[in-house]
Amino acid sequence: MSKTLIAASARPMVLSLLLKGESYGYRILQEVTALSGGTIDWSEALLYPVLHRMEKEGVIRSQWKMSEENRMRKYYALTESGRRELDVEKERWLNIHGAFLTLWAAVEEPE
Amino acid sequence: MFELEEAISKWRKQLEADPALEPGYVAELEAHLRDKFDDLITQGRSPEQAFNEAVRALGDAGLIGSQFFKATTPRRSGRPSSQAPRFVPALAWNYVRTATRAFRRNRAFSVINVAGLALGMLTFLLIMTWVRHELSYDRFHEKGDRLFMVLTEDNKGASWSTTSYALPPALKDGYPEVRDFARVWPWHGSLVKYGDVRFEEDDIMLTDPGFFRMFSFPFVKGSPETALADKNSIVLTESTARRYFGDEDPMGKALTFDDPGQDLTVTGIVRDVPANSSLQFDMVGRVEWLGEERIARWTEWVGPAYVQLLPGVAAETFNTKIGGIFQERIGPNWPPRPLLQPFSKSYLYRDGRPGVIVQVVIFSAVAVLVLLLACVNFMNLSVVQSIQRGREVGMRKAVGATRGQIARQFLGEALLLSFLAMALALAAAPALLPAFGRLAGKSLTLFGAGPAGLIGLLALAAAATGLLAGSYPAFLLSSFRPVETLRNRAAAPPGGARLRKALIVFQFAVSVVILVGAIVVSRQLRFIKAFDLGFDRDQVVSLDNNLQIYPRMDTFKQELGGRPGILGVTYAAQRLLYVGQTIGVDWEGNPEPIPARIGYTMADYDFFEVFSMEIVRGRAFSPAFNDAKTDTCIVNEAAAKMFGWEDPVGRTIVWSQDSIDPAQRNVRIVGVVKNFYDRSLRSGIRPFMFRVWRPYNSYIFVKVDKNRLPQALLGMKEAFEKFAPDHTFRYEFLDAYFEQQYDVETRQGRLFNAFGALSLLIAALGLLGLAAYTAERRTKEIGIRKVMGASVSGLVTQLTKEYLALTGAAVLIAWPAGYYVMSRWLAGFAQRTPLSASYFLAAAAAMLVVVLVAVGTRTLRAARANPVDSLRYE
Repeated sequence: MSKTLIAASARPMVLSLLLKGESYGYRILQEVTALSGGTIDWSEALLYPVLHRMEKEGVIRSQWKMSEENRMRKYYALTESGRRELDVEKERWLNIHGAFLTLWAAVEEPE
Repeated sequence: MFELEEAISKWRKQLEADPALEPGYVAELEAHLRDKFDDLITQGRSPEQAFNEAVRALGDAGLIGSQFFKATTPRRSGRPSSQAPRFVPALAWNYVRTATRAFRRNRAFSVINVAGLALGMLTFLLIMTWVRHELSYDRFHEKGDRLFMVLTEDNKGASWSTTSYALPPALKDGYPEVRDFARVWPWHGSLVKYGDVRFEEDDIMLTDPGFFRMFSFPFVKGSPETALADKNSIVLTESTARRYFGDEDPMGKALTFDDPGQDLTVTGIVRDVPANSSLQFDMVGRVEWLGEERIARWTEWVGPAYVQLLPGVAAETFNTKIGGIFQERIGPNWPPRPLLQPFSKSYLYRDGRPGVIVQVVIFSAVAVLVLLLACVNFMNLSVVQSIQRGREVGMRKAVGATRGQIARQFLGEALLLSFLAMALALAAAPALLPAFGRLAGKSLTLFGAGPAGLIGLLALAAAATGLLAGSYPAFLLSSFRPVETLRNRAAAPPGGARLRKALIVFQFAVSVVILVGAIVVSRQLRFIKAFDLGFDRDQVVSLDNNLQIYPRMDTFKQELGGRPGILGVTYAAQRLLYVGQTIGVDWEGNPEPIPARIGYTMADYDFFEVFSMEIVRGRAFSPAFNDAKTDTCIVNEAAAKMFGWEDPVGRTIVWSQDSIDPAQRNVRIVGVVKNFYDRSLRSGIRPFMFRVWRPYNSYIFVKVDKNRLPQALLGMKEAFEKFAPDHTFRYEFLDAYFEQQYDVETRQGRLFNAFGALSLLIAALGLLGLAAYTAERRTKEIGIRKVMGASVSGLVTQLTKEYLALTGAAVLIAWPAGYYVMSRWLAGFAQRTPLSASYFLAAAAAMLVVVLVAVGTRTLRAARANPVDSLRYE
């Protein structure tokens, strides 16, 4: 998958993953890999700067917590503005998705 | 055995070393690494494999750091927060303060530095303004690229700005490439009347109707198409029209011209002719004034002519096409051929040869050199001055300044000063321009066509100078370790010294070349002015003849001759030194198939007496022989030599002039006059013939007694006004007229002197600064030498020696260069002063004196100083 598409989808992807509850960097990575069946391969070093920037912008917030495995981890959770951004993003991606579907359906029908 | 904790802590340390990664980030990454490690172990990797793979997946420290940095940087410039800023605003005031402090510490030195550069820039600006003025000549014609001057080239490759009068119309009729033509003949002058208003007009130009269609002289009234349609029409410039008509409408009004004795109707008013036009006029009439028959003749070679070619016609091709037209029309043996030269070049290339352009090139070179000198000086002095700031640099570095910051500080400072100099030059230029214009004989406007080019060039020079001047402290001083610069008083630039010496040699060499130039030009001018032209030009006054005197030339001569202080009176059609006329002559034994062209003028009796010209064979003209009515002539030695006759007196030559009645073409030589110059010295001596012609001669020449000059002039005025009450009495001394011909050279000489002095001044300023610096740097050494018993004179010699060697090197370079340039310049004169070695010695001596004075005074002060003071310093 192209780098620009990965970069463009990283933010909404993170927001969406956090929708079901707080999570930490490594698990986010694993979930993305699992979700996409390995086709979306985020560079590990890329994720953290993205998370930090999002935190700085206030769409997510973080908290250091001791995990069950007795390891300190930084957990990220959605904020109110994060939810709002996700709504906007969702609409955008669905629009694009819908447009593509219509296009492809129109091409397939004459066959 | 692989130790996980040890490996992780090592990895962590690596990350922590990256300033972009805060400890919190690193902890987060560590948690990630551990998670990944655990996963990989579960997948069955060995601990070492698992660790390495996990680390690789995260990427190396630098990559992570830069990614973090991108996400977190607060700076707009994108510069990592770990790196020092390019510019610390808080330090700005400090920079200004240290700069002014450094400026003040060596106030004289700094003022010299900036003033020197400003002076150089000012010179550059002034000269280039003049250069642009010269280059702007004749560029304002809309059809400029299609206008050509018709020259004539002979078989020896020499060319003149003149052509056969029948040629331009023939070109237009016979060649579709020619759109239009205009022959131009400057009329000698006329008394012009409108009612009671009368003026002697000198700038009357005669031309063809095509003139205003071709050249863009904007019309205020009338139109370029129709203005010259009628043969009796005249076009005036605005200010000329105002002289006659004031606020009246001049269109359709008649002006009375005493010569050619006609009333002409004003058919157009054009704007005054701009100064940068090579075509100058107050009035424009039709060339038919000269006589319709005359201007239709193929053998009449007068005045310049211009043609307009259709767009896209190449002059070279057309030149080839019309190359044989004279042979076709006049005769197969005529060698000349017409040659079209772009009109825009006619000012810079006179007669098809480099003219003003030579001066333009010489002075542009001088301008660039002077600017270069000033820049070199500025660099030298700035470098020297900045050496003293080694400690400042050390201090700045010690408290955390980076090299980049120091470099920018010093470059900025140097740029500020060089641009200050530029601002000073720009401010002073308008004030000095009028004076410079007088020196150059032009009325100049600063920037003329537009300031962009010159200011841009100057700004470029200022920027380059500033950057180079600032580069020593910026790059070299800042590279020293602070400890060293702080410990020593100053660190000398190791490579800088050689460069500085080279720059000084260059500077001296240029100064010496300019000095040689100044000396040679002034010598040549003195030589020319004292040169024996073969006739006496002192004490001869020239008056313009006129129609009221023509019929009574003999009585006027008698009237004048009887007055006090007047030693002799004669007439002639031409003024010696400005003879434009040539005639064709043939003789028995002429080796060429065509008649030779020789100089010619009609004269009156007493001509040779008034001009004190020596008759070497035969006799002078005399009424006793009735030369006015007989077929006699007098030739010069050069003509006799050309005829190949030992004694030409009594032999006959033949005019070959269509306009002369064939019965009168044979003329008998009655005398041979000693050779003389009939044009400028540059043209040399040529064969020449005189004949007596009484009814009509344009000039009156009066030889006066120098001691009774006022009476003589008064007598002339009275006689003139008695005989020609309509005309204004105007006179001119021939020697002044002669010197006027060398106006260009005289001005060149004056400019050269000014620039020679200027370049010496700049060099001296630079030296003064350098000497001061050397003396200061060697204070301690001088002190020790004195304690050990060195004498003041010995010390001065020691300190000056270096500069003397540099002067010597410069002189060795400058002499051949000066010799080359000036022998080329002198080659433009037929008579030239020899390039004496003394000129070169004098220039070198002048340079040496400047060096000794500039270096010596400063050095003497250092050598005289009490050694105790200088040694106690450290």
